[in-house]
Amino acid sequence: MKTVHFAVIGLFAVVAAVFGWRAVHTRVRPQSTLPSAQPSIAQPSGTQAQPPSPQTLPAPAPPSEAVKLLGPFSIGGQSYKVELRTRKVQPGSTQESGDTVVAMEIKDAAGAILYRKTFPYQEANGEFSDSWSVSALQLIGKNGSGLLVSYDAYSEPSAPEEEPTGWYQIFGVIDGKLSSFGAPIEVQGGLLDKYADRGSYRAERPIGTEADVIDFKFWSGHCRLIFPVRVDWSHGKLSPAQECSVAAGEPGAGCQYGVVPEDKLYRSDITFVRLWPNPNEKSGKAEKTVVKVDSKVELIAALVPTRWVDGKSAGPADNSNDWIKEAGGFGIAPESDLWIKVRIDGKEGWIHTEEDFRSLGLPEDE
Amino acid sequence: MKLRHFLWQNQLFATALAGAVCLALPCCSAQTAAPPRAASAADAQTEDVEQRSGPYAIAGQSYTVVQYEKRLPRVSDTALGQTLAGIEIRDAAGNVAYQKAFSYAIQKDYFQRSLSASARLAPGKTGAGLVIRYSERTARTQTGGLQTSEFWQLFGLVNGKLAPLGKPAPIGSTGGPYMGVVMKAANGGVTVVSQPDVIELQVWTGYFYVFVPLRVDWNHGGLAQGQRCMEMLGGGLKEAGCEMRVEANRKPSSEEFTFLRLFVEAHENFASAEHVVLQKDSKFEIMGASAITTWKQNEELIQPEFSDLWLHVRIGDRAGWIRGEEDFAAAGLSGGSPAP
Repeated sequence: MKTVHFAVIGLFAVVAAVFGWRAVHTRVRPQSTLPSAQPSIAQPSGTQAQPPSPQTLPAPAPPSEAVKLLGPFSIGGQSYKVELRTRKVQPGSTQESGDTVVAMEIKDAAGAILYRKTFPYQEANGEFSDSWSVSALQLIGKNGSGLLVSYDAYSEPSAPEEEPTGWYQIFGVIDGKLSSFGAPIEVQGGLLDKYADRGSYRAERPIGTEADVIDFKFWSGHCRLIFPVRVDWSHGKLSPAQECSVAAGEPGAGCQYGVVPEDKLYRSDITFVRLWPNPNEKSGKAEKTVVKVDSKVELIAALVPTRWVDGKSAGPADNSNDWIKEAGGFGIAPESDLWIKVRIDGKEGWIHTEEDFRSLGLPEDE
Repeated sequence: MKLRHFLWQNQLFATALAGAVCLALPCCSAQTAAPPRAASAADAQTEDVEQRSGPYAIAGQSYTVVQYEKRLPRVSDTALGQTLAGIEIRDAAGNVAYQKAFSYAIQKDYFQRSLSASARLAPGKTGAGLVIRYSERTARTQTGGLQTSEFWQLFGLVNGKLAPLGKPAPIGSTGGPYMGVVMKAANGGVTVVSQPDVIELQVWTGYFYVFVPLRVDWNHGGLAQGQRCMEMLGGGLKEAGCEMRVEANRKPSSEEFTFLRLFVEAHENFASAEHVVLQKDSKFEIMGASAITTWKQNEELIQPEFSDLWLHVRIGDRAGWIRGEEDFAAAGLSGGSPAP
C-alpha cells in the first residue's frame, strides 16, 4: 500500500497550492482562543464520517464567488481535491484588497463532497478587513499518508506578532473513507520548513506500525519550540507524541522540546545571563556568563510543561463557524516556568526568567 | 512606575510606644541607676581610664560627658583591649544628670566585647540635644573578624530635665509625643506654628552608611521617625522603603567583569531586572539608598534595623537599583563592620 502511495505521489507531484492573497504577514487570531476546558477524548471523526446528504450540498457558487482548486492529492490509492470558494475581501481602514475563502470542500475523484467547512465573511465596516486563506499539503509518513489542511485568518489593522495563529486539520483514510482526524488544532506557530517539500509535508519519524510523528513549531513567548504530534493512521486520532500535560494542581517540570534556531537576537551591549547546570535553581549556583554582542548563542533545548486540548469535531459538514471555538490545540501550560538550554561561546547551561531571556536578546511579543 | 504614595515627612505627631519593649541588644546588660562598676574578678587585671568630652550647652546648662573605661594593660591589640564600663553626664556644678553602667567580662586575655562611645551636640530650632553613639565590637570569630554593632542615645529635656528620649515613635501612630504645634482654623485649615528639628544619624547597614532622619523636639522630649513610606499593593497600603542619603567606601573588584541586576525601582515586582556587566573602567555612581527602618530599644539604647535594603546607582548612562549581598559585593561594597 505504501508503494502505491509513493507511486501515486510521484504521478501527482502537484503542489498543493497555498492560497493566500496577501503579502502582508501581520496577522491576528480571530475571536477564538485555545479552549480552556480540560482535555477530553475526542471520537475519531473517521468512525462517524458520512458523506453530506444531498440536502447539505451547497448551491452552485453565486456570481460574487469564485472557485479555486487545490490538488489533486493521492491518499490511500484515491484521488482527492480541495475546492475553495472565495469572495472579494471588504477593505477596511487599511484598504486591504484580495480574496477571502468562504467555504472549503474536499471532493473525491467523482466530485462527491466528502467534507465541507465554511468561514465567516466580513461585511464592509470601514475599520477592519478580515479574511481567510486555506492551504493543503500531502502528509507523508512511513505508516500512512493523509491531507494536511491549514486555515489562516488575517485581520487588518493588527499588531505584529512573532508567530501568527493558524488552524491545522489532518485527514486520512479510515475504513476506506476520507475522514478528519478530529477537530482542527489551533497553533500559534506553524509547520517546519525542513519537512515541507513541493506540496507535501513529511512526518518526522514513525511510531510503531500504525502512527507517525509530525512536528509543529509553536511560540513559547521567547522562542519557537518543536512540538511533536502523533498521528494514528489506524484510529484517525491526533495526540501529543510525548505526554507532558500538567496534572491538576501539580505543575510538573514538563518535557524537553527542541528549539528552532532564532535568526536574530536583540542585543546592543555587553550583558550577562545566569546559567544553571540543570533546569532547576536548586541544581547549583548559577554561573554569571558574559554575553557580548557578537557572542555565538545557540538554543539547544527547552523544558516546559505543555497543554494539549482535544477539540470538538463537527463531522464532515461543518457549515457553522463554531469550529473555531471548538478547535483543539496545544501550547505552554499557564503559569509555566520555561527553561531554555543554551550554549554561549561554547559554554552550556540553562536559563529561565524574563530578565535572562531579555539579556540574551531573545524575541518577545510586543 | 512609582507606587510610593505616601511619604509622611511632614507628619508632626507621633506616638510613643506604650510599655517597654525588651529587645536583645547585645551590649545592654546595663544598670541604669548604679554608678559605673566593673566585674570584680576582672578588676585586678584592668586599669581605669577616664575620658571627658564637652562642655555641651543644652537649655542654658553646660554638660560634660564622662566615660569610664577599663583597659587591659598587657594587651597590645586595642580592639578588644579596652571597653566602656560606664558613662555619666554632669552639669556645670559637677552634679550627675545621668549615668549608666555597662558590664564587661574578660575571656582569654581579651574583653569578650569592647564598647566605645562618642558624643556630639545636636543644635536646632527647638533647642539642643546630645547624641551619643555606641560602638560594640564582639570577640573575634574563627575567620578573624570583628562583629561591630552600633547603638544610640539621644538626650533632650524631659519634664525640664536632661534625659534619654527613647525609641523614635513611628509616623502615623496615635498618642505619640508632642512634636510641635498645629493650629486648626474653623474652616478646617491647618497652620503649623512650630516644627520639630530633623537630625540624621549615620548608620552602618552592613555594606555602607545611610543617613537616617529623625524628628526631634529637644525641649519637649519628642522623638519620632523622620520619614515613613507606604505603597499601594493589592488595594491596601503596605510599608515600603524610604530613600536616604548614602556614604560608601567602594573598593572595586579586581575581576575583569562583575555582574549587577539593575532594577528600575527599588522593588522586584515592578519589572524584570536589566543585566549590567560592570567593567574596570565603568563609571559607577552611588545616588542613594532605600530601606524600611525599624527601631529597637533595649533599656535606654536604641538601634535601627534595615530591611528591604536597596542601593540606587548609576552605571554609565544607566540608573537603577541593586540589592543583596552578591550585587553589593559586585559593586565593590563587601559586607563588613562599620568603623569603630
